[in-house]
Parts: sequence; structure tokens; C-alpha cells
Amino acid sequence: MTARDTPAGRAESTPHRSLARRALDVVDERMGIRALEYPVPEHANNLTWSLGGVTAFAFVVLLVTGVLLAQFYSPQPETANQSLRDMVTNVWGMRFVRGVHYWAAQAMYVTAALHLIRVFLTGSYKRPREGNWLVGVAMFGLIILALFTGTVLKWDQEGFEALGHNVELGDLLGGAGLWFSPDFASRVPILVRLYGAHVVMIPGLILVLVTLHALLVKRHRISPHPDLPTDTSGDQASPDEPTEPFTHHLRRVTAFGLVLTGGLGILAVLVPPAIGPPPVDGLEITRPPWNFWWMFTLENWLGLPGILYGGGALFLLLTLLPFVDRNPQRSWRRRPVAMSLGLVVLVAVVALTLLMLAITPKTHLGM
Amino acid sequence: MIRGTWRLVVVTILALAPVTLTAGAQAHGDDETQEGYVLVQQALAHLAHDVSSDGIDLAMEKVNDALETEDQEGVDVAEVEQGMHALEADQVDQARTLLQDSITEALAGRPLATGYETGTGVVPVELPGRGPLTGSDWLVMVLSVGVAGLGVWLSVRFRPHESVSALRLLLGTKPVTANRPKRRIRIARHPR
Repeated sequence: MTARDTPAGRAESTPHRSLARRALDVVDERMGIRALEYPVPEHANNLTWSLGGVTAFAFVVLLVTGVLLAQFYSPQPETANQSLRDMVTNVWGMRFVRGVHYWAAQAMYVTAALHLIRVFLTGSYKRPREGNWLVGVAMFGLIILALFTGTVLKWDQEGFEALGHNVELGDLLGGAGLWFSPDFASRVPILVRLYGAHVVMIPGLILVLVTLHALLVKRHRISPHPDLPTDTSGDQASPDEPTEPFTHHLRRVTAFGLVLTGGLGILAVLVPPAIGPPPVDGLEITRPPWNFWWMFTLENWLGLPGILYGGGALFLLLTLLPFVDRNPQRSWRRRPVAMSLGLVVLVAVVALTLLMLAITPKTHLGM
Repeated sequence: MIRGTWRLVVVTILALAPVTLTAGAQAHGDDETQEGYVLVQQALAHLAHDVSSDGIDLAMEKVNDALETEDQEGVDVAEVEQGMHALEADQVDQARTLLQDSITEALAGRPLATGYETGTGVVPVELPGRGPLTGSDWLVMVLSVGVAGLGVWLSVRFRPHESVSALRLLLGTKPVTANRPKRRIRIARHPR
């Protein structure tokens, strides 16, 4: 490294740098932020390759709005539902904040799913990125858990029935489902434990995994685009492909994030989520959030174990994918088996979701 | 050979997973409650979710169960009967008030909820997402449109210099795998 490459060297060699630039140099000298300026291939800056960043942006929106919601939410069963009602009717701006939180959760689920599909289509999970694929699958599972626990926290009939499924599935799993049982800590309301999971355990785990995900992306570098030439190993983009600093990638992700945030704000004003009546035990009269409809259809056909079969099969397939698919090709056109399997799974999930609109829900809880 | 064995193991696990996962499954039996105040709450819940004739019919079934059950501790049966008459007369709001009042005593003495208990006392109707847009709503919406617009402008301004098709032209028209060594060579480079 030459003197010119160091922050101090850069400052000396360019005396007419702006104040902002010099301030950045001062910070960089102490915090090393220019380490983020590592090169990434040009193709990484389009929207489809930025979906992971957009998902992370939605996560940040969720953290900020979640902190605000936590100031007014009471996780006690007697007061939880009413605290939400008070919050959105008596505290200025909180109806909007709750609306943004709700829609950001939906956005994070959708963008994470789209990111996962993009990685699948472009074969970006292949060697040497299998480990990072597993980290991503784990994060997708955590996002679903966060959606689930968030649904329960409303403590309305829909949330309580979701919790009922959770408890009975825990029973089905025997010892493996003990944590989900109210018997695990019988003197503590299960709502309080799920609140802890929603605001600490799940986001904390996501933060750890996001960090690991990003570090592994840096270590393995952005995967090559399947329509472009690769380097000699086949695992990296061609050295002839133009690159941009990673900070430019972050800049574009932030721009997409602003579009997302604006959209969330509009939805939060026009379509804020309602708050259902507080729960009453012994009823099963609501439908779950749309994200779970495909499993709900399976439950209607197979009973409660249908949820385990469906969810377990999907995540088992996702987990095994990079180890079973050893085809070195990345272009979808040259991976007929993986593409056929992926299409079958996608069509099944979409069809089961749509079927929910046509079937009459059956009662399963307590049966 | 080893790879084939692994695949066999994986397929076997996939096939057996549903069986092993649900090995501990048990029938729970019908848990329909006999507690009068819970039955009244269930009637209130039906009325809170659906005030069509279907919802009222379901609520009346629950009220009927509450009147017939032996466990009516803390329930004002006379008010429940009045609630039933109100439902029969399609006076849902009055029925709701009477039914809620009828279980005041039962709810008053309950300890704090633990485990899987609901802790529910009053059963109000759904709080709608929003009413008519207020001045604050319009302000926030205009700001949101502005933020989205700024994002669109920045994403266009910061767009990549080259699209993927332009990169393909720039990098030549060689097939995607032209630079890739043959599979045989790669195996030699990574001996097991």
C-alpha cells in the first residue's frame, strides 16, 4: 500500500477536496469505512440483484417502527388488544407507524421470497456459496416466525387462533415443540414469551445472520450473472466485467429503499390494518394471514399435521437444494431438473394459496 | 457410489420425516367449554365478527348453551335471557350490551391470565383500519409520495452504467461457459 492509498495520503495529494470529503477522510481514518468500497461486478447493481438489500432496508424500517410501537404496547393478555386500540386512536401518528410496520413486514416477506427465487434462478447458491444459501434460508424461516409472532401480538381472534395452531403443533412435535407449549412456563402468559421472541430473539438472530450473510457475500464475492462470461474457475464474474465500489451498490439499494418506504407510507395511510375483537377461547372463526394460506389449505385436507408436512417439506427442499443439485451450470435454461422442481413447488404454493379462497375452512383446534 | 448412497439416505429421511414428526400425535377430544361466562363470551365474539343472520344464529346457539349449562357461576341468567330476546328481535347492539353486562361478576374475580388463557373481559367490535382521511393523513401521504419520488429519481440517477445486455456485448459473444474449464480439469484441481 502506498502513502497515496492511505486516508492521510489521499488528503495530502488532493488539497482542494470538499469539506465533506475531508470529514469523511477523518472518520475513515478512525473507523475504516472505506473498507466498504470493495469492487462488485456491474451486474449486481440492477434491481433483481439488489433484492437482498431491499429486504434489509425493510428490516431497518421494521426495527425503527417496532421500537416506537414497543413504547405503547402492553404484552399482558388482559391489556394487549386494548393497548393497540389506545395507541392508534389516542397517540398522534401511531396509527401511521403501526401501518408502516404492518406493511413493511409484508414487504420484507415478499422481497425475501423474491430474493430467494432470484438466487435459485441464477444458481447463486452453488459452490462455494452453499453455506450462505443456508444462512439465507434460515433468515427466511425467521421472517416467517416474525410474521407469525407479530400476528399473535395483536391478541385478537385471528392472532389467538394462530397461537392455538402453534400450541397444538408444538404438542404434535412432542419434546421438540416444548417451547411452544404453555406448559413450558405455565405461570407466564405465552403472549409475553412470544413478545420476547418477536422483539428480541427473532430480530437479534436476524441481525446476526444478516451480518454473517453480508460477510460471506464479501468473502465469496457477488456470484456471476448466468448470462455473462465467468472467470476460469466458473465461480466468479469475469475479470473483464466492469466493477463499481460496493458503496455504489449501497447507494442504489438506498434509492430502492426510499421507493419502498414511500410506498409503505402510502399504504399505511390508505390501507392501515384493522384491530379485531379480543380473543375468546374455544372458537375457530377466522382465517390466517395470506402468507400462511397455502399451509391452511393443507390443514383442511390433512388436519393439523398438514402444516408440518407442508412447511417441513418446503424447508427441507430449500436446505438440501445446494447439496443435491450438483449441476455446475447457472443458467436456468441448462438446469431443467432444478427448474422443473422449482416450478412444481411454486405452482403448488400458489395453487394452495388460491384454493383457500374457494374452500370452506374446517375446525381443527381442540379436535 | 458414495454420492448415490447419500442421495438414498436423503430420500429415505424425506419419506419418513412426516411419520416420525407426528409420531406423538394424539387426539385431544372435543374441548367445548361448559363454563357459562365463556359461552356468553363466545356469543359476543360471534356478534363482534359477523352481524349477518349467520353470525346472529351462531351467537344464539352459544347463548342457548349458556342458559342450559350447569356452570353458570357469576352469570346473570336473567340478563342472558333478555339478551336472547334482543337477538331474536334482531336488536344486536342491545343484545351485546346485555350479554356483556351479564358476565360482569364472573369477570371481576378472575386472576391474571397465565399460560394460554386469553385474559379477555370486554369483547368490543373490530376497530376499522381508518375512517375518512384527515389533514394529517394527507400531509403524510404527500410526504410519502415525495419520498417515493425521490427514491425513483435517485435509483434512475444511480442506475448501472451498463445493462446486462450491454455487458454481454461488451464482454463479447462467447457462450456463458466459454471460460470455464472442462469438468475433468476442475476435479483434478480439487482432489478429494
